Amino acid sequence: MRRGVLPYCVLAMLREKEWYGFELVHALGNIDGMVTGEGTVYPLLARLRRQGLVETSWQESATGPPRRYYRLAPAGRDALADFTGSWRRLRDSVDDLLASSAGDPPASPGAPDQATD
Amino acid sequence: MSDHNDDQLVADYLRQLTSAASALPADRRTELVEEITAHIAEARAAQGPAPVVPGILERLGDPAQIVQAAAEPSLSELAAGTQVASGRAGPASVRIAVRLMYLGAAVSLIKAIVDLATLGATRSILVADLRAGARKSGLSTPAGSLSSGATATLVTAFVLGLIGVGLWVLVARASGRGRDWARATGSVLFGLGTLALLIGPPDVGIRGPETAGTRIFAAIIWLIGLAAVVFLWQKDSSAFLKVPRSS
Repeated sequence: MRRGVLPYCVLAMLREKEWYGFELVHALGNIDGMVTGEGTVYPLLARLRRQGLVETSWQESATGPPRRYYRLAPAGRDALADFTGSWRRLRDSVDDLLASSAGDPPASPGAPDQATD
Repeated sequence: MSDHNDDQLVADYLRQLTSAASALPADRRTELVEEITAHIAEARAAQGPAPVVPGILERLGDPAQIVQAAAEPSLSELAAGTQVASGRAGPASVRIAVRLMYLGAAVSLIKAIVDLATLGATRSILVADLRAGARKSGLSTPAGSLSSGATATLVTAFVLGLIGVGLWVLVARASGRGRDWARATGSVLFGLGTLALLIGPPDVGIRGPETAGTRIFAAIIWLIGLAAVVFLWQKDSSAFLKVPRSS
């Protein structure tokens, strides 16, 4: 599930500003439960590049070699907008389901409910 | 902890990564190793004078795991994801192809309507054609049946035109939804269209009036078809259209 959501989290981060690779990956690594290993984010970024969902540019760095900066491509913005809608619907549905099954079990197998037998 | 030790750890890590990545295509392997190398350099610089290299490597994760993430069927996750989310999207090349096909449908529709609207002029040419054909084969045909024959030809041409519009839309929709048959169907239809353009419509001995206008229309439609097919066969499109889908 995390792997399916991660690309959109990257796209969401790129909505407001450009990030360079290390900065982006490190920030994702700091979010609890987001990535299993920071290194696995790089293949994902490469995939987003190939799909045209993000655009990149190399920029000089004051402290070291040039950095690859990522920004959201128009196609990425569309994909993120689509995802946002379906994610909210799914989240609400799952929340409802979890809340109702935690509150009163409507048809729990353990409950003897056979008055009219 | 000496710098030398750290360098050794990093070198070992990168060696493991390179060897694990041997299954990847060369350009992806090089790119991945370069990016991880840059990441380690950035992380060490960010931690100041005494970076904790083992910690950096631990956060990066097992090289095998990183390579596995790179080896996953390209696009499948995300293409399937956007698919579910929207029913459209896909890579830019597919979306351009889809737009072109809708354009092709629109132009085809205009052509069919224009053809029908010029019915009067067209009909008299067709009738003359039919009469000439009849005379050549030594048949005497009443004028009325010639005229209705011409009308039938035009109506048939219009209906065929509408079917063409429908096919454009069908393939455009299927491509946008990532159906793998869409590309083959589109290509075959384009091939048939090209043939039809070269040898003329499959009429029974009667050729429709070839005005400059209809020829330009036909050329425009053909070019749109060509562009759409080219975009459908781009590498990005292939990955999107080949993704197996559960639904």
